[in-house]
Amino acid sequence: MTTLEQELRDTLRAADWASPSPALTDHMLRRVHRARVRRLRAGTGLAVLAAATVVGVLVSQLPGGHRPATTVAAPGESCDGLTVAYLGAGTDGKDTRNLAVGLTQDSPGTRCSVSPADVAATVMVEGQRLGVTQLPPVRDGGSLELTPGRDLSVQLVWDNWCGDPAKAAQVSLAFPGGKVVTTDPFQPSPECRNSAVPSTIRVFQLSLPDVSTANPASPKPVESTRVCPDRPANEPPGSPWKPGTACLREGFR
Amino acid sequence: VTVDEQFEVFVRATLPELLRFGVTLTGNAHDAADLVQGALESTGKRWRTVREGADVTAYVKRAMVNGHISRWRRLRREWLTDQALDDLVSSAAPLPLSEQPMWVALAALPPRQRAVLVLRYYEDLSEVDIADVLGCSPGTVKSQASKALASLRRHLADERDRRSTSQEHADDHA
Repeated sequence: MTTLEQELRDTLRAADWASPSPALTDHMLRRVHRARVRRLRAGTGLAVLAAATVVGVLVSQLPGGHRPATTVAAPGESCDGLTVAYLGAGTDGKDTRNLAVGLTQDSPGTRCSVSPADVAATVMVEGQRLGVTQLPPVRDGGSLELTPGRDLSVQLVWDNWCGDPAKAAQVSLAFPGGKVVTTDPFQPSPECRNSAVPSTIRVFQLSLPDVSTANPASPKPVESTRVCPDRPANEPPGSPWKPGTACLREGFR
Repeated sequence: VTVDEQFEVFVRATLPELLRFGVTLTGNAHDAADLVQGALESTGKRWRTVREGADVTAYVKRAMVNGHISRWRRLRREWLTDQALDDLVSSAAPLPLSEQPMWVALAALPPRQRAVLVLRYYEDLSEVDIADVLGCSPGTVKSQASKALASLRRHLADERDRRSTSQEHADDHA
């Protein structure tokens, strides 16, 4: 071993750090525990969906005489059928903090009851979850009942983002029962107001876009023009869309 | 003992070692804590599988090395970090070596080269084991180590020259 290598070894081994405080250990354990719980919830949701599918297949294989007489079952409680239909990100220079995620309850035979306080929102860049703090809703506004085929608009306010605006971000929303939906990547645009404090995100409002008086108790919708930073997922390829054009799909606002 | 309790026991027992390893990889306590946090979160998610393995600590360290090399260092600059974590780390004792020439020279290395040196001279891993951790060939490890040592040698020589020149200036003024 050369002198340089020996010096390197000594330096690395002298770089000892004081033992972490109990508070630091506890904090890290809490963070790790929360990550595990999120994962387990998502796994449970998938397992329930898989089990339901298996049962459905088995039932469909039964001889006709054993098939259940009722063909229209009462909807079960599940948000597992939610899929992302649309994303709007405020980039008009007026209020760049607004996001709107349009979702559709695709799963037949289920209904989903959800309120703003039930939705956990996270932001990811290049697959890494950012340290964004979720603020509680200003007003809960009560639960909305989402039946099959019905659309849901989730309006969020993402504030104080100091990352690289050139890098695409994605928003993930976790619903009761473990269903997690993730948007397509988009260019983040919230203003960086103070890099010393964490970025925040808040679920501002849930609405049923095709029912104008879905929830009279809920707060007024966020008023701003939203434009699509990228082609909306629901737009057919080849349609006359270009970056920067308003992409408020009929029914979503 | 539940699965959660097993994991907690593991974290409490290995956290000091993991943080020290994180410091050697990143060069500072804040980034080390972030790196350990990320590796533990990913390990926690797979704990049921990971705990069956031969060496769980090595698994976490491997996650730290790869996380450090692949994206973490780049993202760190734009990551709005966990303020509470930063505050807790700030209250810990500062690193005594941050001004030391070898430490400064290490900081100038690309993350992959630094990782090779840390695994070789801190963890005492062989070239074959390092190649396994990094997912490359032993030949690549050898060449990366060689380049890293050459950079350190050059950096330290420059530093000695700079200090010598400064001393001469000081003597002239005296």
